[in-house]
Amino acid sequence: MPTSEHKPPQPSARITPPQKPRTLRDSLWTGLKWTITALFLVYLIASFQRTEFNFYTLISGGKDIKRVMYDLVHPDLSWVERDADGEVVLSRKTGEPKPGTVPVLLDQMNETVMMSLVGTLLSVLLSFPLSFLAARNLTKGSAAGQLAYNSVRFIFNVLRAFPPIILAIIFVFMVGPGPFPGVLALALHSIGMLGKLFSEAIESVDLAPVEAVRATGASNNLIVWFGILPQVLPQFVAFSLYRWDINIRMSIILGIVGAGGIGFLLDQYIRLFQYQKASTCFLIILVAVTILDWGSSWLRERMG
Amino acid sequence: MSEAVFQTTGLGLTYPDGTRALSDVDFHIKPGEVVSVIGRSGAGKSTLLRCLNGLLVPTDGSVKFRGKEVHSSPEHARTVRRDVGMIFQSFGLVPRVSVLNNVLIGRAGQVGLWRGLIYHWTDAEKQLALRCLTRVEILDQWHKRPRELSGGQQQRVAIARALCQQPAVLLADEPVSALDPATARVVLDHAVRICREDGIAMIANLHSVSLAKEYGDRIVAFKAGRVHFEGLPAELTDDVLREIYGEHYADF
Repeated sequence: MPTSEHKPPQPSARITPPQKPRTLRDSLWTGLKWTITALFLVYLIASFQRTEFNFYTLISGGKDIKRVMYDLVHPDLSWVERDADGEVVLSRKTGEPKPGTVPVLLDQMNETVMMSLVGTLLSVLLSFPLSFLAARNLTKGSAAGQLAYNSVRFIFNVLRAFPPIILAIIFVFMVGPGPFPGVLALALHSIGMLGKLFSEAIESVDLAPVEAVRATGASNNLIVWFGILPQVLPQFVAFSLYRWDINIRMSIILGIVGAGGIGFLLDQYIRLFQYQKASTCFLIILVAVTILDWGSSWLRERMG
Repeated sequence: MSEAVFQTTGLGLTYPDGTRALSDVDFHIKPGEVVSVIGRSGAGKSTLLRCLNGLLVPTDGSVKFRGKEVHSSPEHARTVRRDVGMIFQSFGLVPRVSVLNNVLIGRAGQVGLWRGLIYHWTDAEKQLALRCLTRVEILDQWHKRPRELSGGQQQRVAIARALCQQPAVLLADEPVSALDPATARVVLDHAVRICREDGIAMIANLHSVSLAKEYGDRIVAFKAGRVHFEGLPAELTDDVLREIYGEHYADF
């Protein structure tokens, strides 16, 4: 017979845990939590009022929603410009027919893609060397290394903190409107982003090959080149392609503040209530981004 | 007696976290000699090898390579490393780089910066690398990437890389701990045979006492950072082994 000490636990018995000690601090904390929750709810309700959120307006239309909707599903697909009577408008200089909405927008979309390409390339070229200085595993151990690490990290953080659109506004003021300020904005912001990603890739390398290369008596530069670069290069390429992908979409937005590309015309059309032309913009953006998105993910799959 | 390749006197190393890895180590190796180093994990075997080629800077004592202090300056330690090959438990091959280029990376200490950056090797260097691959019988794999090879093949490539330095000494840090016993013999056979043929001295940290006895001309045993035993393989008795590995040492 088992003794009373070895009784198995009764599965049906209810377990009452010992009382949790409750201090004054716990009570105050609970009160604070409820106060914060209540204040947040009040702020949330105020937010709906301030943003004039209203389903009825959305359905019935604020001003002229029927015309807008009609225009948006009837994009202007003209290849040459026509006047009110349907006659082809000729250029006063060349005598050739003036290009219509589609060729003009295709040209602007091309500029947008070129902006993203130049911006991304500049950021890759600059963040590549800097990222090695921002990798902890390469800079620890010496005072100069620490200084480089902290200052480059700081630069990356600052560049990342500014949204590209803010940078674009600043550069439009500095160098005037056009694609150039857009390129500068994309490049600067992307340096911050890519620099962080690159340096984190460097920080996660396998150190065994690095030690092996060091053991051959190689200089520090060649240790990085032979021991680290082959390990991180595929990631660097993938990150750069992904950044280009993001920058294409970003450069569309930048046009709205005057920094070149299709966004600039989109903004104009909307301001002039030319919704059929705006609709063409949307269509071209949609097609272009879809194609480029597909292309870049296809490329990235093959790089990995 | 010819001059020692490596000679340490009163060598000691304390890691920044306060761990005492080596204490008062007097160690030497003569040209062409094969020395097996045994001892429990953490006894200081790996630390010793890294102090010899300057990957670690000792906190006490001196390391002399061919009579000159290794740690006189970081630059001098680097020039010493050019003449000292090293192989590792985890092979340390560079991923995504061909076997041939991995072997050529053994020349990294000799080539200048710009030649290294564009992977430009002279014909003589390429011939040397191909000869090293032939000697470890892996020439047919020259175009492959390391991850396509088995562990034993990878370690042979690592041996070829070390040989490509044309070293005076080969340091082997647990070279066969990641390999099965049969492959371990193949790898050690290659390394020791080539060292004997070329008169390269070899220091091998080994976990297998039987391999250490078989391949070493001399055995050095470490215990808690100090040299506990030094002598011929025949002098390494079970009593000594019990002192090194503890009471639970059974003949393995």
